[in-house]
Amino acid sequence: MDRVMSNKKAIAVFTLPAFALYFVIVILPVFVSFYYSLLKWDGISARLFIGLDNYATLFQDHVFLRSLWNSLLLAFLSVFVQLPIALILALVLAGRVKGSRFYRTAYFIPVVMSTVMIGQLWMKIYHPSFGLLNTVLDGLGLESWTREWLGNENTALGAAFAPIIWQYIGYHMLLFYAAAKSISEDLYEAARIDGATGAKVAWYITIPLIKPMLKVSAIFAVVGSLKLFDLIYVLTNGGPLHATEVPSTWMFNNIFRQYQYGYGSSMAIIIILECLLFTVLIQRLFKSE
Amino acid sequence: MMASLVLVLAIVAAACSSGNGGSQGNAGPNGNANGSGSQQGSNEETITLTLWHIFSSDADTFKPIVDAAVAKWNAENPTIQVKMEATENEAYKTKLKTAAAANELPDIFFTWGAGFSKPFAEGGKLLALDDYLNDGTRDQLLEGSLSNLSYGGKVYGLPYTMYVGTFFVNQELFDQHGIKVPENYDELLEAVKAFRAKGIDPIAVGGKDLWPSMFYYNALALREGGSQLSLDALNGNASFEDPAFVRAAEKLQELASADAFMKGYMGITRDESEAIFITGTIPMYYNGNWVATILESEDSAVKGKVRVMNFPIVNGGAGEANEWIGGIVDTFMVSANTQYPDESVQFLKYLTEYMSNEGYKVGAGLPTWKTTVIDESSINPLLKDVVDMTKSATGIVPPWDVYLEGHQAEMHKNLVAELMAGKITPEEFSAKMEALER
Repeated sequence: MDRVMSNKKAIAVFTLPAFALYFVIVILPVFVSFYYSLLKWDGISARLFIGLDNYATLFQDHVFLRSLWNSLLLAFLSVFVQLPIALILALVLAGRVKGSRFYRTAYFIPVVMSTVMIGQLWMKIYHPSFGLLNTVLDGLGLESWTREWLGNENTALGAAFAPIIWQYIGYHMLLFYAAAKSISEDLYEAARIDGATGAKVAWYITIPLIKPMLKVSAIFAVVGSLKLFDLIYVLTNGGPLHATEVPSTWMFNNIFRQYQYGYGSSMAIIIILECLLFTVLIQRLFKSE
Repeated sequence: MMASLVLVLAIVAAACSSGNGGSQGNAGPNGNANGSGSQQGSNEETITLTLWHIFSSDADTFKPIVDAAVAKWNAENPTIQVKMEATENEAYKTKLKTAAAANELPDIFFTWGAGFSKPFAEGGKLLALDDYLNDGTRDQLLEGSLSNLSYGGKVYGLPYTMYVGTFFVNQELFDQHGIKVPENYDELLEAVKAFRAKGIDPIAVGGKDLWPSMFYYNALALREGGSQLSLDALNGNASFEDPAFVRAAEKLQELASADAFMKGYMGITRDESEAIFITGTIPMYYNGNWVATILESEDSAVKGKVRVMNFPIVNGGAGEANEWIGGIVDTFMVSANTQYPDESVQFLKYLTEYMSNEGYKVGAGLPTWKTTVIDESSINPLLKDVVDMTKSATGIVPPWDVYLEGHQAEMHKNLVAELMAGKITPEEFSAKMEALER
């Protein structure tokens, strides 16, 4: 075995199939997209090489800039709203709460459900005429609080982000929970002997020890927000008047509705770069702490 | 941007001219040999025509119809046999484009008119049908039904189904509240205000999908300027800054600011808007004729209570009363490279007429051939009314997004949404429309 592992050729041979697959379905398309992003191309007619013109246009496209801003806002909310909630839930459940198995499952259900179902569900909740939210507000005598949640430019973004944040709380909770559960009992025992209780144990023992998982979650949350597509597509399709546009929906719209393959591809490249940048940034941040 | 577009156009144009040269070379000998060629064919050997279409799934209403049409043809024409190949819709688009690029299009194929087939026509991939339609075929087709299937003044496809923008009116609601069903725009505005005053959402629309809102603008533009002006503007021969288009935009904005459209319409899909209309709580709805099917279904709360009309006219507008917004997009075309142009066109005529007839019979669409003769007692009464009205249509303008396609279509739909939300003025709307490359 050792001999095989030290043989560079053998390593190359054994990793080749996986690498080839990865290369063809991940790396190659990125480069092809980059090539497309330098073209003015409708997908059928002749391709016209225009250099970086698409990128220049991109940063004057107010819809794209708005979508970029929206996705950054979502990334912020994910890290500072979604993750703390998930962490608190995980810590509480890890602390041997009665019925923790039930809660664990309950919080995780939205993660298992298909995004389209979640979208449909929340569309029913937000429906202006017979939606749950407005009906409840009416019932409480808060008619003045009712809104056309997804149909109004001012409320649509918040209304669309709420289910996105909500859906993945369970996912991060489970990651934290698993990490917390893997911490040795001995440490807790020692802490208890030293007189540490609930919150203190969490703060001084659990959280520092699950830091690697916090990092992973932060990266998932940020990258997931930056490339978010499905829920927005179902809930608002970027509307009304582009209020809820995110880079992926605007890219989809440009490529598949407006047949601007080149221009859309430049957005794809920006999304990839953005994700890479934030991944590196978060890695650095956790290292320096 | 502009310069690069010019370049693209130049490339396309170059491709066209060379393509035309090639196809003429092919069509020439065939065309000359017309008479003798087909006679020889019928006496001597069996020829095989290939037909490509998208009706691959049993769920397609048109699948059994196409199957039956081809089976019937093959039985009746032993010397001209037709072979079918069906491909799923999205894959079909790629397949067709690839085949066109490689000059391997089948003799006859399903395709979409307006923007989709434009590069095909410009690339000389399609057989022009004009010479074949003078035997009376043209008169058997609905007036205006070829406008979406013509490029550069030549007809390339024959239609077999269509839909038209239909104004659905819940007569019961109008009667209950003693409000007059609007015949013209002024009455429409009055009805809107009267219903709004009673706390009823006057008009249903699924603004989230964008095109349902656009339907209202396209109808108003048709009423203000007439079908020819709309068509001219769409193909670049007239300006979108024509006062008629500005007035249409003003009227749409006037309706929107009178709160004519249902609560939260910007977040409501077309399907949801339809679902609310059939609960009988909204008096007016302008959408495709396909809504008729669900309105007359067993669990519809408004079965028998709804009337169909064309969109209210605008007094003083240039539009004629019997002009419609209508989509005739699905079509069959013949390849410029076919070895048997005569037989292919002969089959094309047979196929589209057959499908027009049978498609109407099962409620899959409105007929585009006036020759329809079927037992109409089994037909949805609302659809029948629409067909009776469209038979004498004097003009049909496709929904603008169908005609414009792609970037321009998206821009148009978004501009209408901005107009309705009061983000832009009617003048800005028209100026931005005019600024679109056509």
